Amino acid sequence: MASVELLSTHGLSRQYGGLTAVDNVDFNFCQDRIQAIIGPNGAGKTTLVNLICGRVPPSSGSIIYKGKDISKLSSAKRVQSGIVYTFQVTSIFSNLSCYENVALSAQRSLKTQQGKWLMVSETVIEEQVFESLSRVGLQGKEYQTAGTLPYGHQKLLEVAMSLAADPELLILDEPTQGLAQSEIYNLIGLVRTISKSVNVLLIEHNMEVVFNLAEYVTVMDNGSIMTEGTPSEIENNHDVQVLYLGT
Amino acid sequence: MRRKSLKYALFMQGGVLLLLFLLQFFLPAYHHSSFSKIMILASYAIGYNFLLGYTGLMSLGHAMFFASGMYSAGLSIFYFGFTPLEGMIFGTLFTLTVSLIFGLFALRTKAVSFLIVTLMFGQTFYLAILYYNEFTYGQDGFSLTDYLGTLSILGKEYLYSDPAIRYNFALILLASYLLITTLIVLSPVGRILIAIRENEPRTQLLGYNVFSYKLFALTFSGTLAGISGAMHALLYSYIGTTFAEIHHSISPLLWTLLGGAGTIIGPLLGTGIMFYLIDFISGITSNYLLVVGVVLVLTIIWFPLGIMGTIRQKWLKWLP
Ligand SMILES: Nc1ncnc2c1ncn2[C@@H]1O[C@H](COP(=O)(O)OP(=O)(O)OP(=O)(O)O)[C@@H](O)[C@H]1O
Ligand SMILES: [Mg+2]
Repeated sequence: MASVELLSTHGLSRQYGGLTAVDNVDFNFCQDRIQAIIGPNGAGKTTLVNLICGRVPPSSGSIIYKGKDISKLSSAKRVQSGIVYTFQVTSIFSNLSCYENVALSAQRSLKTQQGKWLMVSETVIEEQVFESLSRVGLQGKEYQTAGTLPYGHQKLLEVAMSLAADPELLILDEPTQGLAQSEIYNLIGLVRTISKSVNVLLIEHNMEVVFNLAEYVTVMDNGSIMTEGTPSEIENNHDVQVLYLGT
Repeated sequence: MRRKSLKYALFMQGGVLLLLFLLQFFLPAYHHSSFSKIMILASYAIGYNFLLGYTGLMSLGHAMFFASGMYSAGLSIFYFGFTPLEGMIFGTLFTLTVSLIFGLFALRTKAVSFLIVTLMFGQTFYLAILYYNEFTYGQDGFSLTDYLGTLSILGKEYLYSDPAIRYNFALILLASYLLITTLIVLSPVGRILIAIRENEPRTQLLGYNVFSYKLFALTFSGTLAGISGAMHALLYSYIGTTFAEIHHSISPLLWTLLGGAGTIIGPLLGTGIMFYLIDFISGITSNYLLVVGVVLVLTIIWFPLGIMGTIRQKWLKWLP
């Protein structure tokens, strides 16, 4: 690991009642590469990234981002500092248009860039919205009500919202879930382009996507990190094969 | 879309206001006075709708803000000899403070708990007015008739309760409420408030401090209610506890739901319709509250979006 650490967790845990969803995890994310987290259902992947972006508070442990402890920061503050999360289960504004959905995100990032007391002009927002929507392939859908989009497109809308948020660390939680094969290829291309300027942490079940994109893979099982390594190391790891193939 | 909404909305509201302005020269005295009253109450409802319709917070304690404006303006004129203008300013600032402090506490709760907290504070405020009756004149209330003096316009002296003054002051109040809420709703801030109404956790995760936006919405809505109350005190020279009672909190909810929550012009329509309906019914039976209840239930069943909400859904997509 030659690269610089962007984010790390230290002894991070989260309990739900008696269940330990994330168990004493020391996870590192290094700058300028695509990293992936894989693992079976219920391994704790979503819970881990929820802890990172502040959606749920940790039971114990800490999170360091760019050298600062962010464990006590509100989720809004974390977004403002560049940690942007794209939901596994879509959480869009279903009664609002795609335009409004993305505009909400764009407006915030533009404000963070331009200073708190300035009113961001709608023309600038509009530019951002159209750009983000067309990057994910939703151009032409600007004025469609978000809730009427097919599920796969709602996930793309989530990605567009995240792009408009001007992320530094973009966490994509199973972005290909519900997408058609051709859309998956587009998304792989998109993530690769995004990753030139943004750090991407990818959570995926689709191994093809993971091995196509990730430069480093973390395998989680039962709330803990089972092993880590390059995609080829992971592919050839006996324990991982057992975990996935059950043999 | 936004620019179009703004342009169309201002044209439409301008038309309505112009019509209301012209009507004063034609309306018979009775309706003239009803319209004045409706415009004041509608302003109150527009402020209420800002919170319910655009931020998604339902309050059952708004009479507290209305009465807070009314009493602080009225009492300061009565006891400290404030001029009507000073009373208005004092009433506004006082209600702003009350709603801000109230918001800091009440907004820690959500949904039904928030509703109950607003109800409790509203009742406490009402009971406090009764309790300090030596100072507030309790149930009887008090009159400002001898304290307001006259208003001089173009060298002529008018009483605040002069029908023409009443009508036009109410109209100015209504016009400014329509304009300011339209501008806010269609601004970036309005977009965030609507986002909070639609999906609060997601709004937080887009990087917005939801609490402070809700606090703004509540304070603004409360202050608008307070200014309506203060204006009511001046134009009707009377301050009394009926304006602090629970039914005065339920009324703006009803007017808003009937006219269309989350539409700017809806509350005006809802207030007007309910006012005339009650006026008509109370000529027939004294039990007009029953009618209010029935209208509320029917509205929710048949027009969950209210009149203007339904019109927006069907025809006028641009309606803010
Ligand atoms: N809010 C919650 N309340 C109770 N238990 C929860 C909650 N969220 C997650 N869990 C439990 O924590 C464990 C980890 O869940 P998590 O969603 O993090 O897994 P995951 O690795 O993302 O799974 P998937 O691949 O299905 O998305 C599961 O056993 C889940 O049932
Ligand atoms: Mg998950």
